[in-house]
Amino acid sequence: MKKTQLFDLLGEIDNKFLDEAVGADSEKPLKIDTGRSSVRWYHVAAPIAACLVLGAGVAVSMYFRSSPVPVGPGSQGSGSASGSTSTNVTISDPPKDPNSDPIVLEPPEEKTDYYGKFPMFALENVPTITNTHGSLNEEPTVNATLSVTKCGEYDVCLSAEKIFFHEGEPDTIYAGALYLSLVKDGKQISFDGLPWMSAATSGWACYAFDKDLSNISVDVIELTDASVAAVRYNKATSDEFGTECELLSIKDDKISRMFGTDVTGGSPTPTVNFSETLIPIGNSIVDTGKNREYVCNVDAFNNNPYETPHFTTRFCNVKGEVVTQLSKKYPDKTESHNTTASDLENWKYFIENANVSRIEIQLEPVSTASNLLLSPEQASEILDLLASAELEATDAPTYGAGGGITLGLYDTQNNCLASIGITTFLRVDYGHSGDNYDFNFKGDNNALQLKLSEIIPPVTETSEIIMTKNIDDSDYSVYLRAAVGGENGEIYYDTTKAVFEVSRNGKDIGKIYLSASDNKQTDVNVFNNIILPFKMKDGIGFAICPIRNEGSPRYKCATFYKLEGDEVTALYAPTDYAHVDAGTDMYIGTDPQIVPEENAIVTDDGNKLVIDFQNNLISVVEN
Amino acid sequence: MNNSTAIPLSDITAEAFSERVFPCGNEVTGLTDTEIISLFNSRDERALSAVSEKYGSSCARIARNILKNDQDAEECVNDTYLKVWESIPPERPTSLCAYVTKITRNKAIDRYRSERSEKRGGGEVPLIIDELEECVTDSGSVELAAERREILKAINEFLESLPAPKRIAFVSRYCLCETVASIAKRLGVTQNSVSVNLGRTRKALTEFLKRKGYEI
Repeated sequence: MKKTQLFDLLGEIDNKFLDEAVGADSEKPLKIDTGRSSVRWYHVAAPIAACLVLGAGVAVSMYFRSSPVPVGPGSQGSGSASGSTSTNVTISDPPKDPNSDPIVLEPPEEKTDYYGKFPMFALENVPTITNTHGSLNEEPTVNATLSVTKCGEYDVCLSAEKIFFHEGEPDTIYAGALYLSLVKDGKQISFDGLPWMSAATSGWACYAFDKDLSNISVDVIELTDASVAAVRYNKATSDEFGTECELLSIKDDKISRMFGTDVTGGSPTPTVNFSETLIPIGNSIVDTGKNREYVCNVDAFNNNPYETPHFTTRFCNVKGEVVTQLSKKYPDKTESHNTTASDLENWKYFIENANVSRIEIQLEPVSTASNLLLSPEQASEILDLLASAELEATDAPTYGAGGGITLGLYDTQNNCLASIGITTFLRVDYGHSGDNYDFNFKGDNNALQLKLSEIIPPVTETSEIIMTKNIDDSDYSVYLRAAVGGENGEIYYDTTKAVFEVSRNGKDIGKIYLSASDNKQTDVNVFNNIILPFKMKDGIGFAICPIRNEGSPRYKCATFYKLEGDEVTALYAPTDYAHVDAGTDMYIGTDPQIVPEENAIVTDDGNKLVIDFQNNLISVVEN
Repeated sequence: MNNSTAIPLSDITAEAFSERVFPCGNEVTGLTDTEIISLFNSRDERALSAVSEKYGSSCARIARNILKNDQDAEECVNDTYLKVWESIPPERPTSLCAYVTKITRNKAIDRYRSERSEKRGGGEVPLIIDELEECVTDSGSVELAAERREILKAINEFLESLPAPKRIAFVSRYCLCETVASIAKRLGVTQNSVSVNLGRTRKALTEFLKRKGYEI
């Protein structure tokens, strides 16, 4: 081996060793003092202004009920082991003079009185930031466990990172991040971070608490098969004030967010804003205190709700009376069926096969209409449909609406009385009932009908195969699959979610995701030449072209893959040191010619792309 | 989370890219790797500010160690950010730190080799490669990817067996291309101690690989 090869090889060592070496100096990172545009990398915001903004959030923070249970440093939490437990941290120590005290750093990791990751919160250890540097990472802050709440055999620890006072605000504690962790037998076994706050227009995004931490609390509700932890905290950003509640499930040594980040589209993390006290009803019902009840589907705990919904819900009318209850267990989401555009013509089929995360329904018109207007058969049909599709109603916030399907309630004059829209993320939008909503339909001429008012394909999980290439005389096929979207009645292919799938004898052996600069293609012909299979003297494989507009300089470039057994291997140029799954992007032109005996592809400029199948390399031999 | 508009970045230069993705007043700090990757997945340009915030210093140091040129190092780091932006998604690195670090190293070495051919540059790379010469007993080229993978596996095994301080020193020197002086400062030991330890570790690596049957 050449010494340069050894040097290159050392750049590919296991990630954990790099993490370790880089992390060894994470407390005091070295910087390059370039003497010029370093500000491009570390733009300095206006933290003081931000803190003023954040401070404003505190004004509305005294909102939650408070049933404080003292949890001081070194004491291992409290609370009953069953029923609802609420833990707040009560701090009696006065805040320290922000101008004079030295920073007390957290003790080393090996201390034994840790809960979760950090030592117990102690007010006297919280430093005060006086001179800001632009980045919170550069400020003296501490990490701590704020509270410990008992939950059966677990301790549920609320931890915060980057805690500090800001000069001139001795009553407010700021924290850069919050999360819950699960401790069992003194050891952290699971944690799940709460969502990061929106960055303020300028400055840091932080949580803000009263110094006695009275406006942040953890409730634990122990249910039959699992438990729910509800963290209530104050959200302080420039444009959003008020209290938030984050729900987490606890089961089988895991704590999981019940409304996690949408793994498919990175949509905002929804939070449930409970304005009333959580009360456990029976063993599995959580009542928000309003006219909506959430029936926890405990069997589905530990799963991200975007994979498996957690809630079933009752429909209630405005008087709080239960109209009907849909509490069937949700099945695991399956991708076994990929909805196609033709499927969407059949709305019943669509509903029955929708992968539902949650559904939102305007309660009053729907429930009232169900009571007053629908015949038993009609109501039964609708409810059966909803139930069979595992659709439920919740009052999750509306956002991210894009595609979906809308069901409308119509009278015989085709007037829309109310509608239910199942949106992109398969939530139901609030219906657009008219201002003069009227239920006076009792005669034969006013028989209510349910009909499809609009059809817009969803763009999340549904997808269809839009291109298939079989490689001659081989077991392999390559598919291009993209999501189907809809906008203003026009169907398009959402290529941001495009995936190339490789199968061998019908068995999936690989997937390749490629970015696309133009994410909406209405013309399927765009995809015609996107896959180029090749069978050569020494091997077999294919090239795929990133989906780009013709104007893009890289429009005619492709990445190359080798097929061998059940493995799909990206090919790289010998000079490409940044190996990632998508291989080296190389110019291929518009009419590439395959020369099997030379293991080469000739591009339209006459150059040859020669494939070294043995070493997974592809090189350019210039004309 | 704030709504953000995805920006088409695939075809712009690294420099223009850098100007676009670090808007003033939209700072994100303290995000976990998972949260940063989530921002990448949602094509939120704040992901790059977050990466810069969290790993910019490390990337810059690695690039400068290799290139010994501030301007080149800065461009290299910007290239790294662009590569990360382009590759996540679909990539879902388990360690964002290592992912960014490797890309930086590879980009810097790429640039170093390119510039060396033009008689420019310098940095630690020639010294590091010379030091590694004692680990190499066969000057022949290893061409087979399979063999490279086997050797890499053995190197990982060797690193696993080392005490942490020695491992950190070795990785810092030969993977992150850090100077001996810098390693000594970080670890709070003398430069001589680092040099001696590196020499012993190189020898140990050679012996280890021999035992494994690799006469590299």
